[in-house]
Amino acid sequence: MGEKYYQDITEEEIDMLKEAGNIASGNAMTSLGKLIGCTLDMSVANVRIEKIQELTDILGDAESFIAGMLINVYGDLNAMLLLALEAESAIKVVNLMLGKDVSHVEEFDEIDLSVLCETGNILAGSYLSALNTFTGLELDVSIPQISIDMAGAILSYPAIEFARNDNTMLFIETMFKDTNQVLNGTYILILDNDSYNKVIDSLGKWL
Amino acid sequence: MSEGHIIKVGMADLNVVKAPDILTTLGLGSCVGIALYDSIVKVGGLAHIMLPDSTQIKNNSNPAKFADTAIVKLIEDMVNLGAKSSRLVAKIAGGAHMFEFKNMDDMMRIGTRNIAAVTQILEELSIPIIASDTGSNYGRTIELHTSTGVLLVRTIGHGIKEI
Repeated sequence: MGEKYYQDITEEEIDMLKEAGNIASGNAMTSLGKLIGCTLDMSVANVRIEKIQELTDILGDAESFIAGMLINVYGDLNAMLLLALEAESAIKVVNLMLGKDVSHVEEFDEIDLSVLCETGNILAGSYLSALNTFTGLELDVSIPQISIDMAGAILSYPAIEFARNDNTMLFIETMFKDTNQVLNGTYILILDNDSYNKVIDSLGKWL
Repeated sequence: MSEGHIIKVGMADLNVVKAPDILTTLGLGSCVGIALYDSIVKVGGLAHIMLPDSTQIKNNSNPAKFADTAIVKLIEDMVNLGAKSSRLVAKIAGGAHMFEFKNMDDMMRIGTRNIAAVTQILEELSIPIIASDTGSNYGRTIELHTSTGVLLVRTIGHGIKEI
């Protein structure tokens, strides 16, 4: 099968990626719910192709204060997973998981930051194992890294990597919140063009 | 003096204005914001570049994305607005390391490479860099005030400064 450009994505392929995103992020959100002892509501996965000029605003405003846990995905895919929590939600996660009473991000210590990284890691494991189950793609991940800063600054990192050769970025996005409305976040899988082809091909075989 | 309009410059984007307008780019991370200014005619230009070198990338149709092509385009557009390239001065900001991945030398250094490229190109064009706020590991929002030439740098947790 020849290489397709994701700009030419069909409605059918969008549905396939959406379904994959729904199942994989459903699995990740179940893990997150267990970790923090909350029930999470998840949006239907969205497949987005955005121009670079718009990329700093995909998590709301470019200046929104967020915690971003980023993981590189290797193996059969070249992808990134970004778990983005509003700064307030990151504080909530730390307090829930460690029984702490942190009120400002500046108070985070090394342990708090590594708990957030580990949260990113566990979610990525759940997301990718679901993806592996129905695509058969073998996937490996980097150690997660965290940055708590402006959304635009955090997004510049994947943007530079994934919009390097194109003037757009392809990603599958799921938004989530807990049922008590204290936790707000977005989970994003970013794919390069080769990875888009591989995912579509392997989903095609499966369906 | 009347307050100017605030004009947003996105990632891989550039724009030029006359006083009293203000150019802003929000949430600069590893990208670099290049502000050029001609104080005589009060014309300012701002570019938000992502990558150092257009010749390394196949699809380089957007000049604002790369340090080399963005600076040239920025000067052209400013000259069209009445600026003189010999009078231009530069202020730069950004080029941070937002994430510190191990074993990813190339990506880890992208902020540094962007700053190096911008510095070199400006030097080749004899445009002095009169102020900069670059590197480290945090994001920056910048505003170029064309009435004064001030570049305002805002951060989360690292203060506000005028450079």
